Amino acid sequence: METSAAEKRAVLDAVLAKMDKDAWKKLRKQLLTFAVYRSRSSELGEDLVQRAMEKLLDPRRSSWDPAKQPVLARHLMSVVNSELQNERTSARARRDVPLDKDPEDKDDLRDERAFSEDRAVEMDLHARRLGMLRKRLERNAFALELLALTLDGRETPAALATATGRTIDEVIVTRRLMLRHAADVAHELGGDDARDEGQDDEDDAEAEEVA
Amino acid sequence: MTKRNARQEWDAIEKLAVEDEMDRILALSDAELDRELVDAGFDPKVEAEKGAAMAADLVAHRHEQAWQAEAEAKLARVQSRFAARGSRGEKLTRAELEGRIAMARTDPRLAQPVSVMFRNRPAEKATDEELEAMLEEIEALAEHEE
Repeated sequence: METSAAEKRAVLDAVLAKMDKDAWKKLRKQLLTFAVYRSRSSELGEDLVQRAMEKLLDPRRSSWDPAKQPVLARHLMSVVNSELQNERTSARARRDVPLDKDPEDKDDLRDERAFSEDRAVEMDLHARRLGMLRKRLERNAFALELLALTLDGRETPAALATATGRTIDEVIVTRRLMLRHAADVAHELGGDDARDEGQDDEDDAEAEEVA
Repeated sequence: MTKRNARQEWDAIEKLAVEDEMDRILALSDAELDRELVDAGFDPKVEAEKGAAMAADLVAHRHEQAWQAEAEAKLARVQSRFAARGSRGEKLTRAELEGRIAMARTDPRLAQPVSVMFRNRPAEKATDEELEAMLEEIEALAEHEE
């Protein structure tokens, strides 16, 4: 059932009342780690954390519904993520405005052919990403198997463990390696989602061992 | 299940990557978080202190904003009731309008919503028509409070 605005406010007030300094310190560190990972920028990461916190604590803008997402840190990470998407969407929109476009021009008919071309380019990008990801995983049969099953709609570690006969822990470690390669591929092909090269080598080594 | 296109497949991978990263970070110990922040070029102690300070500021600000949000909600309720109500019919001079509004500001029940009404546009800058409309809202609010 949908929680009313007043109920949400009351729950948040109760949660805030219980949070001590150490809880806020840890929350900041978790959010910052996530925001920097997602944005690949320390500066933007800090800004995203600030925005997410402001949004949470503004009674008129807070969207936290504890009934849907009981973990506050996870909710804030989602806010960081959507703020980042908004940031990228507006940056893309700014880039896409033609320099010679007349802002008063009312006869702006959509060019359906151009639209189709955009879509074709986009589909091609995603297909190339998947191709490159498979190439990167070619020496890791288990990771490739997980990718195929994931694309087939089996997304939870439990479902993947059942399908592959491996343990959930083995699935989590190798799937993480696969997803991190996906982020790197997106970054290399000019996509939005990626992490810095050389990060998380320990995770990668562990996943190679599992495979 | 219908076959997904390349974009939908990639979106699914991306969504999983975000969720997996959330799970990974939430499972990190304090020391592990510190190590990740150092690797990213941050001083974990400084960041932790920033977190505590920012929270204290924002929580204080939240309390300040709470009464405004409540007053705005109350005002919106009254405005919608007011919209269904007829006009007063009586024509007042500007001095009378200002006098009645000033009087309402001294009423403890009305002071908050009236200050919200004039937050963006002070009474002296409003036209006679605007003052009249606001006074009608205030009167509706006063009726509601009785």
